[in-house]
Amino acid sequence: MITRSADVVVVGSGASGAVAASQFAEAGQSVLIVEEGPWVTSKDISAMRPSESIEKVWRGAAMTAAIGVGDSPIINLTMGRCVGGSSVLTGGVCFRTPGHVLKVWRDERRLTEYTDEHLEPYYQEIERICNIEEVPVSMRSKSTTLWGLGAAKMGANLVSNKRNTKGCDGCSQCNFGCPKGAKQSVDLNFLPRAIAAGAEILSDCEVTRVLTKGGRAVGVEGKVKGPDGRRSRVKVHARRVVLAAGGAHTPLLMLKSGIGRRSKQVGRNLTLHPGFRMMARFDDVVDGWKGAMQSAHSTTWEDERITLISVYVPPAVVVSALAGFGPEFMERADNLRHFAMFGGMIHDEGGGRIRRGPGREPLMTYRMSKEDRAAVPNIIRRLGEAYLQAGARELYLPILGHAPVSPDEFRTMDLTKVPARRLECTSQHPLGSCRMGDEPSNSAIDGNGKAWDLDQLYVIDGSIVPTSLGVNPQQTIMTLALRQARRMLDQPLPEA
Amino acid sequence: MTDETGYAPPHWVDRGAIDDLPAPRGWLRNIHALGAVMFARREGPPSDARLNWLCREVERMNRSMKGQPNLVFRASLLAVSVVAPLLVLRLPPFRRLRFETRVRALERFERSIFGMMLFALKAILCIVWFEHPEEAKAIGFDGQCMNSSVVAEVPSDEALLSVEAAADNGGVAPGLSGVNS
Repeated sequence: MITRSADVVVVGSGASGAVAASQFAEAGQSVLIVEEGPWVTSKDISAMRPSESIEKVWRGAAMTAAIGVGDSPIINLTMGRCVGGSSVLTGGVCFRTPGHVLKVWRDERRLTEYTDEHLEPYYQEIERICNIEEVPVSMRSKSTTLWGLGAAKMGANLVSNKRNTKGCDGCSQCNFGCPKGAKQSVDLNFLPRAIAAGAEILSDCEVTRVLTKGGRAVGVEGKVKGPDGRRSRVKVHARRVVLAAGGAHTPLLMLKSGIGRRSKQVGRNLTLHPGFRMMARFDDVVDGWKGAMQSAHSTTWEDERITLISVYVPPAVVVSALAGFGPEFMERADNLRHFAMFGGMIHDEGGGRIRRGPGREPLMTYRMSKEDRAAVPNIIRRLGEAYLQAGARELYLPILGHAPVSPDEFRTMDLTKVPARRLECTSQHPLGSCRMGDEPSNSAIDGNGKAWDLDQLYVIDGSIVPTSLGVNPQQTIMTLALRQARRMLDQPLPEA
Repeated sequence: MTDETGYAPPHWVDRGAIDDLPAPRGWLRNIHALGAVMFARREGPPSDARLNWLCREVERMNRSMKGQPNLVFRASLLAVSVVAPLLVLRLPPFRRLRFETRVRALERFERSIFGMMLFALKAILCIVWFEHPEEAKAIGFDGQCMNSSVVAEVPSDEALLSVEAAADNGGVAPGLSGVNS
């Protein structure tokens, strides 16, 4: 048994844990960051093949999914599992929390402090440290430009994204870790700051339980993998416990520790931003991987609860989305250079739940609301029509096993008849499973991230986001973590 | 020798080559069979050396999968092996089917309620397969933006064969000590 002590133990080293840990360490507190995944340097990641990245830094080697309940698709979920967490694997897209979302937080969740003005200094600080910059039009891939041309004919806009990058030359490999070290993930900024201020990181350490005593969190325990691969038990005593393990694993840890019984809200209200992609074949060469992976988005159909955003996943993944097998499949793959791709996500209502599963991983279920389900055909329709307007010859729909369709076939298809189980649906944004609120009956934690039923236990990751955002959540998560960390620093640590 | 469709015979999977794999287990045979169908071209299936390379790489990835992800992976593969033949009214296992029947079985499976299981497998296999520079080049991906050392680490078929030969002789192939280390 290894035993360690710290003022604060932070579980998770991703976008939220890294931000908070740097604040605590710079304020003079002793900080131990515990990360389940391995330490991989930016140089290591840049030298990895995609399969090695999946093996070493993706959670569950991409075999993680939320099981669809009722008329809902199975949703493949991508999450990071390494020092730096999912920030290492994102497309780098950063949005401030939309004003209309904050209004819902204030009006419906009664989180009255959450205004644009209140969050402004936190936004600015994150933007400065992570070098969040607008993607220039010159960095748009031809895949994105074509969609934009078609969308313009439909009267839709295309707005440049902002991303946390420095010196990105665009190669659409972001999801496997930046091959050039250009993405400013937290392992390149907040974590080095935390370490410089004295924080320590314990990697390859799975936390299995939050330790409690007399109604207070007093540490965590788990298993750490040594250099020889053997696992040893580890116990960390801390005056404050901060959970930042992400929207799927923070509630799991709380449930395993018997926390949240008072509110009964832990693990509920999970939102995922169910995402869909559309591929189109053009006569001209597109080479969609040349350019920023996610450079622009359209807000035109926000009132339909959908955000359309450019995405061009690495070529091998593009090919895997093609229907068929054997010669027919390979001939479709031979058209790789002619494929364009664009994506969309639903600003969903929730309906997901995290439960304890039989093993280490959570059991995730997702019941799509009727309104969200009705948005799926609209996403597919908008995505496809824009490419057809730009001159696409064929569309490859996000329907499992569906042969490519011609423009006429697409326009006469009844997309509402596609069974949910055949939808190819993915998510990268598990949110809301320990949501903030003003009382225990509707939330797992209060507006400053403190658990309702345990003193000195705080949650600061994506699980606290009270509603889905409709946009990529990275900047919101970092901003909330920064705010909650500063609030925590205002609260004196208890005696050891 | 080809079958009536002009493709090579149904037992493309060279049992001998499979048995030479470092860990000749049922699930690797299924990966081999799946890869032989998935990546076949009109001229025929990929070479055994390339398929063995695929199996080795997938096995490497699988070693890091623990608990539920590993269970999902194996269950998906088992479902393909057992359920896919039933969808075309044939008896399992999948790897014993004729080529065109295998294609039809996979297509049915992909369109069924189990489609997402196959989608995950297909993604893993494609990611590995098209890491091979020759396969990537064949579909037009120049890999220019990839770190050059990444591409250099993928051995050629000749190198793989020499490694296998060297292993048979209990030795190490010259110049390949760093491969997949």
